[in-house]
Amino acid sequence: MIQMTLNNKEIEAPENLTILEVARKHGIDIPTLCYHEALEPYGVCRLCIVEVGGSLRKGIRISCIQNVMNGLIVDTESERVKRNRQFLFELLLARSPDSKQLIDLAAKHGVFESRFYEGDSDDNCVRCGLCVRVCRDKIGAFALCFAHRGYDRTVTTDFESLSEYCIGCGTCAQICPTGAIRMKDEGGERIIYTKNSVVARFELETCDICGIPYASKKYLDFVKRNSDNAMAVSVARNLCPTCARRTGAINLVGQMTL
Amino acid sequence: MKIKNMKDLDKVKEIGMKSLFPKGPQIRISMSTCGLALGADDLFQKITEEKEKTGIRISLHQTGCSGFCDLEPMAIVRLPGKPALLYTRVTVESVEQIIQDIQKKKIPQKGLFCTIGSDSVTAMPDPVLNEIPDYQDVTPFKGQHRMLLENCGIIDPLSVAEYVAMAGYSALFKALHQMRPEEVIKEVVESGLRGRGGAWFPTGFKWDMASKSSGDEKFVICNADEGDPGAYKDRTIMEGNPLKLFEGIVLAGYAIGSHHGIIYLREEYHHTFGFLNTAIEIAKRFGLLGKNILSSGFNFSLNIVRGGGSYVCGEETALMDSLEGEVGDPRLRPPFPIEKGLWARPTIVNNVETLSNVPLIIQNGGKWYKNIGTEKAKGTKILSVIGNVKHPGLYEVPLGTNLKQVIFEMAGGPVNGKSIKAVQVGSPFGTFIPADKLDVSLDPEALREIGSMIGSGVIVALDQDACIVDILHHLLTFFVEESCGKCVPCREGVSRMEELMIEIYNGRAGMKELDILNELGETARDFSLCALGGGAPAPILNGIKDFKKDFEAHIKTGKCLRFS
Amino acid sequence: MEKEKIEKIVNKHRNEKSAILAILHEVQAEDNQLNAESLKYIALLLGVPYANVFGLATFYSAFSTEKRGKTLVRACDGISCHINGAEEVIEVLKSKLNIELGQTTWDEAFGLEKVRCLGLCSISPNVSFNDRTYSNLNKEKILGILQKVMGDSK
Repeated sequence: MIQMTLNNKEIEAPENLTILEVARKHGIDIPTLCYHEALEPYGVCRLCIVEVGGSLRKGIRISCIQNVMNGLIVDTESERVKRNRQFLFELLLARSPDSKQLIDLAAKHGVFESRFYEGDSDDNCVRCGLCVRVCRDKIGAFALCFAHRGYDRTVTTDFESLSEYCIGCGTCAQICPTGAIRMKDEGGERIIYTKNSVVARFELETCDICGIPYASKKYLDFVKRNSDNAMAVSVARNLCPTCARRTGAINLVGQMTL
Repeated sequence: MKIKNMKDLDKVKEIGMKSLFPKGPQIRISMSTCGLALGADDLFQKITEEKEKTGIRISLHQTGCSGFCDLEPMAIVRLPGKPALLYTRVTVESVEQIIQDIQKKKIPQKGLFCTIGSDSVTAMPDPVLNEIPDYQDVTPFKGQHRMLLENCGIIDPLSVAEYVAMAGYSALFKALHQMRPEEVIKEVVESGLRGRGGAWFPTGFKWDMASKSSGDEKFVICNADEGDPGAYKDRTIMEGNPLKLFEGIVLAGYAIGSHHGIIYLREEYHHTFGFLNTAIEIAKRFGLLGKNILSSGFNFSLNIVRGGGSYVCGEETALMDSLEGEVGDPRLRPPFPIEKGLWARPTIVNNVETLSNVPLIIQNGGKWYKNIGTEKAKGTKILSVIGNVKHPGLYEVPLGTNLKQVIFEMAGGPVNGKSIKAVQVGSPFGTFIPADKLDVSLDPEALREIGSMIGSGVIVALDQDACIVDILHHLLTFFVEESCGKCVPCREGVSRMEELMIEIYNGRAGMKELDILNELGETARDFSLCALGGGAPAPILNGIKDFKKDFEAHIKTGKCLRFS
Repeated sequence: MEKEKIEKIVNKHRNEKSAILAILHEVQAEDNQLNAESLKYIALLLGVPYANVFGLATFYSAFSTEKRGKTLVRACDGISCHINGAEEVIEVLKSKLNIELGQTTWDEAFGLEKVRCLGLCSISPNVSFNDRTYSNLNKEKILGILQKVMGDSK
């Protein structure tokens, strides 16, 4: 454990944590876009900047990749941090002008419009890379990638067409902080799409008990392939999560009132 | 033949001396990328034809480029008993006369530029020659301290014998047979050598850390991406004296305990790629690369990987990502390459010019090297002086040389009686230094003090007809095209800077936009992930401050000073 | 590109993932493009996801997912070339080839691109036509070279 100062309060913290992790543990809201607890820090959105001093040379640091240390002084709301963060929000809003989530987040930090807003909305993607990283590092489907470079860097499927690798789990849509990539289940079909293209479409398997469409065959095969025998058996029963839980509960407890 | 011991080395040296100072007449033609672009291959072909036609006995060789490409095609003619003669801008039409003159033992006149060195051993007094200045006394070679470029344009770059005759491989032989790796590192540390790619990080310190890193495998990467527009010093070394570079790489490997080297070569250097591969094969044949180098028991393999055409891949972590088959996204640091670099192994990444200094340091000692340069920056620097000067080219000078001296004395100053408006040192990230502030020492510390930087040594001279807004806009388009796009401040910030600069250029913006440009610049400077986004704003922000007239012309009238 | 040709190239590099840049260079050079089929097959042979290969093909300037002109005209626009008149040279190229930068002529004979930089800074402006480079250019010189090259290509 180390001793440090966080927003004028002296606290103790485990030394293998980052400033962001420690701050969040203490209920301090540092905005982020490209950070997610389940993934390695990416450090690209720069929203999580904080001002440091004490045992680190005075200046601004990226809190999601900066480890805490003894004698560290952190200010998450200094004038300099607030000003720079607002500017970063302005840049991001110009890229993602229709995203309710980003608009709300920016407003929370005092930014209501962007001087760089060009009038026509882009793809609302802030290139945080969460979708690419989760699909690659956690799910292991490798359906998404970054293509091109610079301002034109875009999240896309391989070859910018319907992805052969996508399994239809929808984790990308869940993790996207701006709603740039979305998932829709309609009429027995799942579509994962962005503003300008469709990532993948799947016919959904229907639950053997209640008949609702619940997952793509590709996803079920993927789970079977990548899990142990017990899980594979469970998946083979072709039950939606609700019915699966119910039958599980009945098996365990004997019966269940609906 | 594999060189195994001092005897072999001496034998090869003798062959080299005979080749460099032959008994009969000799012609050497510069055949680097620049020479080829100006017709050197046609020239070589014509000389070969004339040789056959006339039956004259002349040895014909290729050389690299001296760095003054606008004097190409260059030829060196050696007549028995006379010092070597340098000819510039040699034409195919003049070949017949040259051959005729050589046959008559006369000195060919057309294009004669200077003599090279006082070969007092073979030279005899000649009234004609007394009129001709020597290499060391003639612009643009005058005043230079050419130790890295010493052999470029003079020796056959693919001749091991000629390089050995010029003291090549004596350093590697000494190191592998008489020094321990720690002693090699000690000399490099003592020399004060700092990275010449632009970062100026102490090389010996880097090697020392890497040698202490634990790992089953270590790598030496030679950064030959040379992305800074205006820079071609590395190409000149690679095409003029590749064996010196290889020697430096092997020395680096020996020092840190690595057996694998990779040269990451700029994609746009097509000719250099084939050329370097040939040089590697030749070096292997002589036992200078591969297994049991110089019979020392030390193994080191070297191969070349072509880049994909991306400036950001010149940044060491992006370069390593590129070598691993990924896109060139700069990595977060720590961890640093010396701990976890290529394939997570300890790696050193060094520039071509940096590595080319090492044989000299080992040969002559770190103490000797320390005598050149300033207190904190030792050795020479190859400067690429381009733009509105009479003699654009590569100038190798001791660190600490005055910028004014380089521009006005060595490079001849501006052309056509114009005046210099500004000079950018360390392009593309350096600031534009106004004409009245050029009295500054060319070393990293002095330049940092005036808010500028030395970078890889590209010096751009602008005369009175240039417009700073046009040049800054041009720089911004470069940064925007080369940004990897990973982080927000660079991808979004620098792009918006370019958009605003276009508006300013076209007279559609005002002072308000200049303020926003400043804010964008400060954000990119302070928060970008790597030095591309971090360095891009400097010339822009300083340009706005120091060249108000250029900006006012655009803002108030929409007219560019270039066309006024 | 035919599967056998791709296999030959990949085998030459011992099917190593780390050699992917070299493999892409060779396929690009021979086929004048890196189209989806080629990239997918390369990915398959190397055991890497398609996404990776597509990312590489679009990140690096040396590669093109669309067919490039048989003669690739690369006009250098580095700072030295810019100062010495590259803009004018590029305008002539655009107008005579009748295409914008980054485009290919309708008959696929020529492609036009900007490049930075060719490392020939003291003899700028420079333009390369595939592997042949011309230097010290101006409006008149590039016109002459173009006429010759376009005449030769007919």
